[in-house]
Amino acid sequence: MSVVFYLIAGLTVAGALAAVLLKNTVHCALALTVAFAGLALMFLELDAQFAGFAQILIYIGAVAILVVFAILLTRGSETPRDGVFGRKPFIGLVTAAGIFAVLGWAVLHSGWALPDAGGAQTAAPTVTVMQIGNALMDRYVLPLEIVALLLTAALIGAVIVAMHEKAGGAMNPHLSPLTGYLLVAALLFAIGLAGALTRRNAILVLIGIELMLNAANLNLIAFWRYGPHPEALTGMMFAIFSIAVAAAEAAVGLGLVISIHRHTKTTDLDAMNRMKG
Amino acid sequence: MIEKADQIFVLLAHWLVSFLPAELQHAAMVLLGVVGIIATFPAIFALTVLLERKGLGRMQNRYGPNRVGPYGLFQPIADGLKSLTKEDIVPFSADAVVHLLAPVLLVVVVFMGYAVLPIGRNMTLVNMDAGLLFFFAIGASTELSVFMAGWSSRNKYSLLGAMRAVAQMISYEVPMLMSSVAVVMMTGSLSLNKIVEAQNQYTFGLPHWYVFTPWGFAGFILFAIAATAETNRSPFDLPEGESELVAGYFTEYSGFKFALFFLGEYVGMMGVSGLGATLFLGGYSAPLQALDFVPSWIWFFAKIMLAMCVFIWIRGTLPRLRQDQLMNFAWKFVLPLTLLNLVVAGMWRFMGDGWMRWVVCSAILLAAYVLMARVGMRKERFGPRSYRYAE
Amino acid sequence: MLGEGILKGLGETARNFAGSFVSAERLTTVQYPEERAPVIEDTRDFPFLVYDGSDWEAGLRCVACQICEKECPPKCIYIVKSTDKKPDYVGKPQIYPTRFDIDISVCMSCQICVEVCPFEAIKMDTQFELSTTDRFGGLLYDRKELARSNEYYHSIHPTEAAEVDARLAEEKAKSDAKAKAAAAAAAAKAAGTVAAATPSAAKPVTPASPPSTTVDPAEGETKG
Repeated sequence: MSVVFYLIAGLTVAGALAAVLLKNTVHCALALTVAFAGLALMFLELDAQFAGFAQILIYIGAVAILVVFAILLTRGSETPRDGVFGRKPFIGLVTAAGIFAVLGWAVLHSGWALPDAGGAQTAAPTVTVMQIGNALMDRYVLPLEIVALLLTAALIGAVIVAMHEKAGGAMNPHLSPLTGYLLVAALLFAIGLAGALTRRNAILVLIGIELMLNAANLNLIAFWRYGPHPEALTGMMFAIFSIAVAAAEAAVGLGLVISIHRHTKTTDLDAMNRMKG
Repeated sequence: MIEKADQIFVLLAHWLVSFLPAELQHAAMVLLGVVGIIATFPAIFALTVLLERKGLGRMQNRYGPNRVGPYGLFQPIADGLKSLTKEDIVPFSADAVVHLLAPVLLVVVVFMGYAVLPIGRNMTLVNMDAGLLFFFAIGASTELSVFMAGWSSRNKYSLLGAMRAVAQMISYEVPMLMSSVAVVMMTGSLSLNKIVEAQNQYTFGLPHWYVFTPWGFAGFILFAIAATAETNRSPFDLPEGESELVAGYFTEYSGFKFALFFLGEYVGMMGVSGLGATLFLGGYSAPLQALDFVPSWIWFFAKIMLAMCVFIWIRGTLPRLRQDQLMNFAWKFVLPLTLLNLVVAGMWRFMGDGWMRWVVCSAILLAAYVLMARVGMRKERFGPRSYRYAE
Repeated sequence: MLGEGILKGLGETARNFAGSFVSAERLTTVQYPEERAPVIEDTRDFPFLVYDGSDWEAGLRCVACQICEKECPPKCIYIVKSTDKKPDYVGKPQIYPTRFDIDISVCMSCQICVEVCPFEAIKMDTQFELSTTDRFGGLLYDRKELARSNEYYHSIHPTEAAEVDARLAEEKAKSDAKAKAAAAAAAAKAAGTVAAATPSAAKPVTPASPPSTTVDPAEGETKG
């Protein structure tokens, strides 16, 4: 486990923690950007170049900006009166900690026959963009078209929603590379879950959801890299489609938040616990 | 001899690095490349700023600065000293950390973009397989820096300027990507080195630059428009227009941070010019085969300077576009044309060689241009104005 | 709509750029302070007091009527009248200003003082490079600093000065004629009465006509 991995993992986890713990919502969004950047670096470490750059381009260049715009349009940058955490944050925290414990135990007690023999890395698969392009047009053409339709639907839907109305071994203590990435992913997932369950602001919940999606992506890429058939590109393609879908979901989700804000003038979830309105 | 002149920087770097032990050599090469980039481009930035002020002055029937040094040549030094020694004012209620990070992020990001540009033969800092994607991914981060600058100042005008700037940059990012996708399609690779090599061939002494094909010419014009908008440059400089929003998102910046923003803007301009030159104008290849003896990096810098001169020329000529005109232009004119350009590029490829494809592709593009201009940019007919007074 | 306006504009700018190196009409900058823009005659900057002849104190046209002080909008003129009378340029005893201060940092160059002066005594100068390092009085001009000769007035505003001189000469000619007529009438009357008494008493009554002002270059000529 190289120093580089620990540095990047530290940066990502710090960013994720800051994203769910900070008071100022815009600071949370910026910390989320740091977490995204850390994840992109991890993808690059895992030799998934295309996925890494797609992560930067889509998550930092589009989703982060979306979140920021939504915060500004819903005046989220003002601290709510009753503090930033919901009325009962304890349950959310316990749930998240429990899930992390289960995932971590599962990762460390891995009984999979994966070639994670002591530190020696499997040869990095040489994936060219040409191969990805071929795969997209060949094996994955159906998912590609479906994602295209999904993105179009999300685009139209987000615009309409937000428009004005007349919008978890024997315990293996050796930390092989794969285990390291899986642990970081589990941690990110838990942090995202904690954030989604405990914060008041609706946008922070979305931030938590984005973190969880990213954690899943990291798992996908890690398994692809250290898996038995990296030349099949399955893991990388899945991750790319997941990024695209997450972008669509972020757009629609933030459109919903804006539309609700327009109606109830607040993004405080604890105040929106009735169907009256 | 010509080979040596062409590869002089590479040879120099190899010679310098040969003094180090073998395992450090690769890192040292990269480091030397980074130092080279950080040394060269700010120097060209200083030259460009001077050129802009004097050039704009001449276009406006006046001298530019001509007091500091002969013909005003030391003006950039005076400007640099001024920005370094000015007091750094941060508003009391501003978010100091984000206020500081915004220009730093901008400068870091625009310099990172140079890592994939082929500045000369064998002179790319990092030869990435997905180089173009890297450049665009990095360019998308500049929007975040603009937003951070505007928001951290806690100033309504800065925030408004930042929102406008981000909206503008996002709108024009898609046409920029699309017009380069046509080039990627025709070359078959995202690697900038391969794109330049594909253009480095000559027929009867004329080069195979993509700009000399119908779809390449249209793509180049559209890329230039989108690049001008991405870097917030006239006529798309509403976010930073002095007469509009004070200084837009850098109202609250003074001294060195302002100089960093300025540096970031111009270095970014040179970066996208470099990218445009690589994609459409053949990168480091010479315009005529006969001129091949001139070193490749000279051609690259010449093309960048040509692009800067065109930027300055356009700045001196065109009035500023209003925000809604800007957005209309992006979504209703530039984007449909880029999509059509993609289709035409495909047609070009599958029509095979011959005069037929020139005629058909040019005709389609011209017809689409005229149609879009007439239909997409029609002025809205407003009814007579009605006023409502407060009762 | 097809972009030909943009191309025309680009051509015009290019023509400006190229032309600025060769033709003067495309580059009209005056490199101050090495060159100065040509002076326009009607320029007005700050007031000065006109004096006739060579002695500034004796020839000062100002009689301290204080009209300009009252009419000045920012009240930058300060006049102290004299208590005695001194002979003016033509020899007639006149009140004169013992103090005449103008604060040119306050003066707004409106020329109202010039317009209301009945004696053509205060006129507008054309100097503007008057900055000084003395903060506390450098821009407060007193009588001596304000006084400039009539020749100077001719050199900076030739047309105006010529008109003023013509008018002054005309008025003087009229007053001379009136005085002569009055003297002739008085002489005739005296001659009529003294003719009965002594014929020699009429002699000394001829009024001492003031020596004709030889300095007026426009004497007798009425410039149109």
